[in-house]
Amino acid sequence: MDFLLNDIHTDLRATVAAIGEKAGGSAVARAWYEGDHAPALTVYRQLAESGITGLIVDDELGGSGAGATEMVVAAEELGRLALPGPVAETLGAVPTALAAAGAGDALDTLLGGRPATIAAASTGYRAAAHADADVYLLRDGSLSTATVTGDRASVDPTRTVADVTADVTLGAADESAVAQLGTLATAAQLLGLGSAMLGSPPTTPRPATSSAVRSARTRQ
Amino acid sequence: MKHHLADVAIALEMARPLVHGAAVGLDGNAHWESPVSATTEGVNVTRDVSAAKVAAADAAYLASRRSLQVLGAIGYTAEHDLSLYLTKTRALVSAWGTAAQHRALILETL
Repeated sequence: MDFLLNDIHTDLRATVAAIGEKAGGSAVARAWYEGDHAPALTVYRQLAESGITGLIVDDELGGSGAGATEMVVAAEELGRLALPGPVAETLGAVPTALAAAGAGDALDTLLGGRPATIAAASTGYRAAAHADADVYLLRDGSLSTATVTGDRASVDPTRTVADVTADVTLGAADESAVAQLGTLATAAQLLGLGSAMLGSPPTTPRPATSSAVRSARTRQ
Repeated sequence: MKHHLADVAIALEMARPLVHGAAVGLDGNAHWESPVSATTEGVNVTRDVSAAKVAAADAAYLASRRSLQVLGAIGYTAEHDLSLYLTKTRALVSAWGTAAQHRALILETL
């Protein structure tokens, strides 16, 4: 394995950063705070147009056919932007669930730029950031569309949480896989948030580090 | 103050390989010999993802606390962008499982 980012990852990160910068950076989150969701929804649409919301979806299903490695690069950059809405869910958990359930129409909607969120065991069966997003419920391995039944207070006004109830059953999905993608995307977002607060630029692979890693491999 | 900021930088740089390593594991590309053989091919992806979340959450939370200390009261105000990052960090720290839940998952694999 290689912990260093390659040129594709670097370009991907630059693409996400450019979308965020064009949208106004932190102004996107600030607008959401003030009730204007349009700038954030524009970012989600542009991410979809660049194939970023479908990074972990296979080519045959209309995705980019990349993987979790690419997804964390994008999620970290979106963390730097403090993008409101269901970032980890739209990039990681929901496409994993929809692809597994064979919910082609719902997946197409997500890949078309509509944010989506999901309630599962790992989220306490509550959906985060459901405003202007499609909502799903994964319970006992069964994925279904869902309706919000009640909002709960959240420390982050851009990521409220809500109780949901199941509507139409879509199919079966692996709860563990969905939780892993949601958790990992959240971890990557947190890295981006931390880096933004520290004010540090994105990590750039350096030859010296690369050599050190190769030397370590040789010695093993 | 410099040392506090250095601590944040260290925490973030220590967490980043865990996040990327877990992603590589999820992609099925991990081929090192893990000391834990709870899953096939010697790689416990669930444990790796939980470790990544705990480390990233700790690092981001440390960054938020130190940022607030450095900026002082202005960091609390809605006018400063730090308030956007503080609230989002606090929400994401417990999203998709709290640190205690993920530590319990890791413990199960040991």
